[in-house]
Amino acid sequence: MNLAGLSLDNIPPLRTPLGFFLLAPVFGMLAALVLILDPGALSSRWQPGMLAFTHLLTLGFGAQVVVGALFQVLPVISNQAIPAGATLAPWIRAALGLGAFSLALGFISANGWLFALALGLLGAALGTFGAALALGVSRIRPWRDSSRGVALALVALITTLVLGAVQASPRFAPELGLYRLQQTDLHALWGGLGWCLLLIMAVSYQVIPMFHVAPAFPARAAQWLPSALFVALLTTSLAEAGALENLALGVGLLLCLLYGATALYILSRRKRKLVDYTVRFWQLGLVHLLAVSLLGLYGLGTGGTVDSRWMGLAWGLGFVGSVMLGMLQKILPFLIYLHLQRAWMKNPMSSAALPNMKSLIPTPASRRQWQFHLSALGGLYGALVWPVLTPLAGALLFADFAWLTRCLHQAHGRYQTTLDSMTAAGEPAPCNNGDR
Amino acid sequence: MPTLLAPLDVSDLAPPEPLERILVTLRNLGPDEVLKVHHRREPRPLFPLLLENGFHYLCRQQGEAAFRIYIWHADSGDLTAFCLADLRAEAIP
Repeated sequence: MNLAGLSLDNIPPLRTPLGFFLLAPVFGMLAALVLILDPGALSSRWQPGMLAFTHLLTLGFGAQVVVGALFQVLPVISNQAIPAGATLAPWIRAALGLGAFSLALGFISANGWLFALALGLLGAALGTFGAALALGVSRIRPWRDSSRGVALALVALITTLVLGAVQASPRFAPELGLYRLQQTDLHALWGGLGWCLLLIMAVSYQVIPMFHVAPAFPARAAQWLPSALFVALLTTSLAEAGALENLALGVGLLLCLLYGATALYILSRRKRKLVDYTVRFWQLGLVHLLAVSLLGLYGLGTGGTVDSRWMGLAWGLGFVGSVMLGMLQKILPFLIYLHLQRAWMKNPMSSAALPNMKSLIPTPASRRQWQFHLSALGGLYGALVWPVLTPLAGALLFADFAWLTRCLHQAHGRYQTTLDSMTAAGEPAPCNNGDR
Repeated sequence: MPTLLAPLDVSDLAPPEPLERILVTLRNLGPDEVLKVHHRREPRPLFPLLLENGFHYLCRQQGEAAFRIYIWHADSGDLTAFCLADLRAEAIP
């Protein structure tokens, strides 16, 4: 019998991931507001508005979603929960949110105190989360491909945070003299290729075959891809500027291509070819991954430079943002369904019927999300060419995240209503399978 | 003597349908009956639900995307040996 290591306590309460998911789009809307209020924000990667925009999206939206998801994903992929997850989550969420907000304000106002406050809050939030996650990961037996990917992503997160703190240090402690221009690229590289891609890889190994009835990733590739990408990143960071650095970065980009192409192929082999906007979000994100990798390789091969604003937008919102939006459309309804199923089994005499998972975020709502996201991406690319479009792009991005907020709150509302009905005394539960 | 029910194949279903099918089938599982499930993945979210609701289970991987899950009432005792014997029989062509 399989009994060891399994406990319902390993599954965190729904409010743990949901709290992060519901807060995250607020930062997406704040990032959009920056573009509406500062039409020159996208003119350079060093613009205060651009830096605020980028960090509201990466730390405010992205990190909130990822941290929330990891509280739930780790027990599913490994049977190991993040220790004290339910207790730590509200504090981590608050510190992460306030930290991202302070950092954005710091960039806009150039106030050194806000940078110090932001680094303190972000360090506390991500440090606490990283320590708890590391403890959880260290207890995993046996290690699988996804566990390895999560562990490497965690190291990349810490590296990103340290490099970010070093680069921000002139704002509050200039006497330390730690700032180096090229470290900004490393900060972005570890955040994008390390933390984000390694984590997306690890999670995709599980969720693409699981949710889309697709074949498993090739075992060998799944095993060595995250480690090889990590080594390429490490070599890029440690090598002196020159041939070895370019070679390592080139290998890293080739690995991105390999992963992207494999994931697209696996999605194309899924057994159910029904309209599924999560799949479209995945495909859109992976096509962006391929495009950015090819552009990067082109830049390396020709010795030229590709505008970092295009690369950052395509990577951050085109690849990572699309994948996150897609996964939220699938993972949140599944989690809600799972928690309601548990509640129903505890109280099978209740009168409430379990809602169909697909009704929690209905297909028309996902289609609208897809349309908003495509519009926002188009608007942002357009604004890079014609800066006059920046406020319009901001408005489209605001609509994208506002719609996400609406969908998530509606799903949560449905959960709460159903749960309330279940806890109320009533007649025996009706059969809930006829309408599926 | 335990009885093995006809296998329930949920290999081609997307979440949460495998979970639903299994839980619905278990409503009618009698004492000393064992439900055998064919699944393409290890259904981790299912396992805590089984334990909380008085079932025992055995899960074994039979191939790259082939898992067998045996489920029975906890009151029926430890049926691991019975399930393993069925697995061995399945492995013999």
